[in-house]
Amino acid sequence: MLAYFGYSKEPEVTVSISSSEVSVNESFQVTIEISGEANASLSTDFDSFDPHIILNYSGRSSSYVMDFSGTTSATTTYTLTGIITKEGDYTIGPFTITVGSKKYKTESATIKVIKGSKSNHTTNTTNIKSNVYSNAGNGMYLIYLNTSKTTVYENEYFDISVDFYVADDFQFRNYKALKLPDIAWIENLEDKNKRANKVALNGRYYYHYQVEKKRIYIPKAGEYDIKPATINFDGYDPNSFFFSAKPYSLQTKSKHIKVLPLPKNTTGIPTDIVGHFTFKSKISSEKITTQDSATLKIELSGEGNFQNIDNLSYTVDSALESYTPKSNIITKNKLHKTKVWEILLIPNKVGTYNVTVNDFCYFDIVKKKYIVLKGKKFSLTVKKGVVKNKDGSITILNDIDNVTDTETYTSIGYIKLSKGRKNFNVYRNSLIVVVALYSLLILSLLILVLMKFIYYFRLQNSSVLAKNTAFRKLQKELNSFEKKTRQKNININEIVAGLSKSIEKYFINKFTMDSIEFTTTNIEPLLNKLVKHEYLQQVKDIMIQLDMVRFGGIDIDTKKLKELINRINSVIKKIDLAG
Amino acid sequence: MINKRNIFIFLYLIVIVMTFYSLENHSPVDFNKAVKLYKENDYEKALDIFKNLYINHYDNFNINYNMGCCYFKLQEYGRARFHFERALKFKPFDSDLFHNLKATYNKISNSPSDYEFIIMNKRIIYFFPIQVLIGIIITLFVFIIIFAILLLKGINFRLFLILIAISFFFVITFTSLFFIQYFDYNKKVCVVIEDEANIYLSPDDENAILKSISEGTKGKIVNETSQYYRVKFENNLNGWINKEDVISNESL
Repeated sequence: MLAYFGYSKEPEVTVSISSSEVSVNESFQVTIEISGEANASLSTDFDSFDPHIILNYSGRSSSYVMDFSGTTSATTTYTLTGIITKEGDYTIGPFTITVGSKKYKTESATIKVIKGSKSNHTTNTTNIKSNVYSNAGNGMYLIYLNTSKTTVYENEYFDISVDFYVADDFQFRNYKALKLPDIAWIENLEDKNKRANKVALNGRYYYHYQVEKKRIYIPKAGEYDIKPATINFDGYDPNSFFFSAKPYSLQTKSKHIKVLPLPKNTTGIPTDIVGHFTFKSKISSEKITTQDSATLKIELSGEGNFQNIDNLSYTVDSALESYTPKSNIITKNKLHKTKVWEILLIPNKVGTYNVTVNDFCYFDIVKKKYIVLKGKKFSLTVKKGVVKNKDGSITILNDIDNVTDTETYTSIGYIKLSKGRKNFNVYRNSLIVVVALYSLLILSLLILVLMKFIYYFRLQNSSVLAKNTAFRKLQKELNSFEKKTRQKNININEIVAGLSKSIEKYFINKFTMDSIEFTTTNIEPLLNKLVKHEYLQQVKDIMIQLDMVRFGGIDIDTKKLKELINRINSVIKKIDLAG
Repeated sequence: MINKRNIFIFLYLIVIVMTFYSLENHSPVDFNKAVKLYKENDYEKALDIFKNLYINHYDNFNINYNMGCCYFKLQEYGRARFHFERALKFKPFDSDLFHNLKATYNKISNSPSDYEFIIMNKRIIYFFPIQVLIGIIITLFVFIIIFAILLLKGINFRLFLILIAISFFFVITFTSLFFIQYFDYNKKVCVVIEDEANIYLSPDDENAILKSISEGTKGKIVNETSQYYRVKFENNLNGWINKEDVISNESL
């Protein structure tokens, strides 16, 4: 029968079981709910089920519910309790429901029965001591903190659970969880979809709720306390006359855990892995071509501190490119895990290469010693690749260099990890620098040219000045020589030498000549183009006379010296006037 | 004395030049955040931070490269091309950039090898980084000054005249290279960022459409109005395109 919603008048029947897996003789609950009918009855013959299934009525209830349209509907609930006496897979149902003259059949439910007490359910424990449980309401409500171990090694796991047992109705208010050590690594194992199951304790049936279940790993040796959990709820007051409700607060006991340091590791492989593991590895193909790639797969399975295992150790030949392994964790039932690493190997060239998966070492909690699981060595042979062309011929590829750009350049590399420098208009500033440099150069050249011009101009001016003042300077000098002739101690030779120099100086300034010394032989060729012939002869005579006094040893008296000076004055005057 | 003076002038010029080039900022907090976001595949948020840095004068190789990577991951290949090619102006020989540009060209074109000339072109133009270029020009100027002084002093006139001529030749060459870089750097270009963008006959979308072009096509901006660019595209197509369809130096 299918369940459906809406305003149909047909009843909706559902069946559910408290647990899909129980142990042999462990009790479970079957709930049959008929919606839309208050007067339905269960008319199933339980003897028709498997003889190992023992079912009993627990109760029947009816209720009325008003939906959002204002329509009232009724629900009937049947509760059965059962046990199964032999392990195996069983089908419970179908159940037959009778409503008036009509009969309806439910679907069947399956249940698995296992041996002993390996299931996750709390087993029937009739030998529980009352001082281990916290209880309230005269034993109607119990809470128990259960740990699988109280002494463990570093990183060795232990399970902890808070179990709440309820013999009667209760209204949950709040729950304060266990306070675990801060350094502990915690894995949650609670099954939120799990329904409460019925258990028998001390001759009384309880509904068992597993409030908390965790797997704990403590990485550091020491002693730790697990602070208790507290559950607050409203429950049945057994002492009240009118079965009134009463607030209860139940707290578990605390637990003391001792964590021992791991024994000394003499295997030579450092490890902090604790648990129980199996280890295998394989390579996808030991013979590939240069176009192909191979995958190295490493699998680690078991129970233990997987959170401390990032990567397993392996060695790859340097000629192979290996890419960061991606790893997956596959969890079977939250306890047993398998972690898989896949490493992509890409060959660069032809050859044979070694790929080694190194040994894995861990501390076995069952054997209480270090175990080394041996790794494996693979030999990867890379041959030349081939490409089939359209015309049927094949091209043998030597290396990956022949791969086209389209094949190689499909994704981009990673980003740059530094910010770099600020860029305040680098090019504009550089332009300013270059323009400034060239401006400076041009300016320097202009200044240089200007200075040269000024210097030349000044030079030119000084020549003119010297030319115009040549005779005046000569006259001054002649006057000073004449004054010297009136002195008592006159030096005729000095005066004669001075007269020669003054005449030379006059001609140099007057005619802008290079500084030279006149002699009787060179005076005529030097001055014949500058001075008239008659004057030139007179100048020559004067120079001869002066040379004879200077070098010829001829004496001259003061009177004749004065006459000579006058003569020089008049000749030069005439030359100066002639221009 | 003169040599000491010249050395002093040279050092002083170097200091002036280097003040134009900024020093690295010492607060990389935002940048590291962007890198972290990129690693977490949150490319849009990483891109916002890179854009902010770009606007704040970090128009350099690293930021342009990273913006290109973000756009590539966001499959905006036109923008990716724009930023990668801008990064090419700073470091034209970077192998990662070469790889990324090729990957981008693969995405925007069926014949990506046609774009290799762009990379070669930039490598020639930007062979010398701008700082090195300016340094060489300044050094050559200093040599010219020294040679000129020695020439004026009349010391081995012919030799220094030849040296001055050679130095001038190199100065002109490097200055030309600088101006080529300058004009290329400041060239107004744009890249189409829409899957399909229309090129119009005039700056008006009601006018005739000359052609539709695809994302990643690059062009040189010749003229503009308030809403349109006149662009000369790689395939010698001239026309007006809506500013919103392209990314350009100005739009950044």
